[in-house]
Amino acid sequence: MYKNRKAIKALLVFYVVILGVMIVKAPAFFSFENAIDILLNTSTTAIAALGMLCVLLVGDIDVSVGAVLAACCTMTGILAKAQLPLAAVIMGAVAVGALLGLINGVVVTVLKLDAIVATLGLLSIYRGLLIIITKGSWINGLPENVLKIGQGRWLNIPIPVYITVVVALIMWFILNHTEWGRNFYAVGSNQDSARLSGINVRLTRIAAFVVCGVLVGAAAVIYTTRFGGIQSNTGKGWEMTLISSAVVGGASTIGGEGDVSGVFLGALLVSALGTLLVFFGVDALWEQAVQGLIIFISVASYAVDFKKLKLRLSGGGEKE
Amino acid sequence: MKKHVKKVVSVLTVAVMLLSLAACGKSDGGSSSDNGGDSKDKVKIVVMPKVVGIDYYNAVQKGVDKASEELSDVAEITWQGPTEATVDKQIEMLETIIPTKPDVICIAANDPAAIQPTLEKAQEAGIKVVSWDADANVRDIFVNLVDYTVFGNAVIDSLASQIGEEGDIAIITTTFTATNQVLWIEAIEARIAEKYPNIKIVDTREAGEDTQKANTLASDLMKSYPELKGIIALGAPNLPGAVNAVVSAGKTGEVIVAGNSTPNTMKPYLEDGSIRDVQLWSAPDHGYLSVYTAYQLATEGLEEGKAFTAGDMGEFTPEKDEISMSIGLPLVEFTKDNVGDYDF
Repeated sequence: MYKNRKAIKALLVFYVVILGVMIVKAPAFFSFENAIDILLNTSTTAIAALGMLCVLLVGDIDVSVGAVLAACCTMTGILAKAQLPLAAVIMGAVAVGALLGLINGVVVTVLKLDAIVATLGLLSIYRGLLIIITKGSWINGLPENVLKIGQGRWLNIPIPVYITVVVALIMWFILNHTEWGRNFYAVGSNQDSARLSGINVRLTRIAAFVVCGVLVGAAAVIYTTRFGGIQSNTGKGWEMTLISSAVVGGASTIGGEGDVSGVFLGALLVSALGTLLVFFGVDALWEQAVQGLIIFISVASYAVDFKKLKLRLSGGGEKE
Repeated sequence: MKKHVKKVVSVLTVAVMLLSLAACGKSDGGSSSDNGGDSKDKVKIVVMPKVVGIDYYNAVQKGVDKASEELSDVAEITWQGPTEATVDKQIEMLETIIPTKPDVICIAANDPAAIQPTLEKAQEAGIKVVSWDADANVRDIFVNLVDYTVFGNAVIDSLASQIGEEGDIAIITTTFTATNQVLWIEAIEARIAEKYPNIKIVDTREAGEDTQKANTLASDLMKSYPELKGIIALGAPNLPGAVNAVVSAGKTGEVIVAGNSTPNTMKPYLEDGSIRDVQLWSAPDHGYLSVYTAYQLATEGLEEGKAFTAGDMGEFTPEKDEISMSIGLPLVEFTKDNVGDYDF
């Protein structure tokens, strides 16, 4: 009911076309190693994009995710350097994400501010505070025990890929099989009727922001431990990656629409685009434009109602 | 009850905002090395970085402090900069510094054009202006980073010597529009055309300043060009990403990486042999040289083509450029043997 089947269908067609072209143009693309690398590179985006999905589902948006990522990465780095056990490092990062998500949710719902404006403001507050805390320095030289998360493999498959699959399964279960998940859809589809049917709208919206923060925190642990270093400007512009992943995957920015499988496919497309263009030999000067065009086409392919468009172009639409 | 909660939250939000503002304001006056004594006849020099409190400029400050100690009998040096890298904060600070009539202001401008009127005002008040790190449109001399050609040559020479001067290489840059990147790549291409006919650049890609993006690009490049012999990664966050990709592909020694980054970032990779050397310059030397240049300017003056001695860094000769004249920092090559001597 809430699934955007059109988007998923369009994406799948898109994948078939791309893979078809690649098999002719760049057979080297098809190797186990490359497939694994693409999944590994998608992991942080996919996990956090599922968080963004929750916020979009309830009809809000969170553009502070880049700064939240930087904050969680910094927490991961600080705790790891203090030689804390792995579990404590992960808990710390996720707790920072949850706290910032809670602040976002409370500011948006209690102060009744527009989500995009409020989270934009919070984005720069978080970044500012972070620079004061870290003094803008990079964190380097993390201990081996935490690097296992980002760099380790089990059965020749990187740990972050397993984490992504587990997170996706949990999110799928929550969104489809719990009341909590169904409330997200209900609030996003129609706030008033959700309220009338006894759903605590404010709490549900806050919960969506918290889930987003938690997942960004989980992504941050992977992000930090893959390279063992954190730059002060980590996550700059990341909100665009997450929002486009979710939207390409069929999530609606006005709420109530989107699902886990779509967003996963969207994140895969958005983060594999760079790789595709290298293999395809697209001149790097064209990269940004081509990337934008592909995202545009993939959204347009399901969002535009072609029947109506045809009608309008042939002059028949005036009757509407 | 609900109203109450709303009030508390809004008060808290405002409090957080105010606190962060206050924190910005407080450290604004981060000054150092006031050596006391009779300051009347000493040369007064103010050194302003783009921003204070980050690792890089903290390292620069060490060089400023060293020069300030050496010159403590004859000069009074103040290190002062904004806590945010914005030009309006710098202008604000300069407006309060100009009436105190220092002899020289050394500035790393956050915006060369926007700061122009303020620097003109300083010059009208008889203050000499030195730009360093990032140039300004108005200045008596510019203490530049390493000359672009010298730097580009050093990077490609390092790579060429490790791949036997032949084979396919790829370049990962930050953006195609950044001045330093454009000029470095031009120098690399010119050097290849002149000295290394058997080296071919097969691809040039931009990674922004993003370790993860550089990592992905490096591994994509190795897969799509299986014959690839070397990768040049320009931009401090990009080099560790590229090295990491080579290490995880198990191609250490087969695919050579060269480029620029900071010693603290590259230390583990230099020590375990994943990369032989990293090109950059010394941040403390930049502070040290800027102070000596300012001192020379205020005392004996500087002239094009006339060498002067900058403490223990030796002689420098100002050369003519579009605005006035400039000198450049020497290149430093970090290896596993010297990387521990630097901290930035």
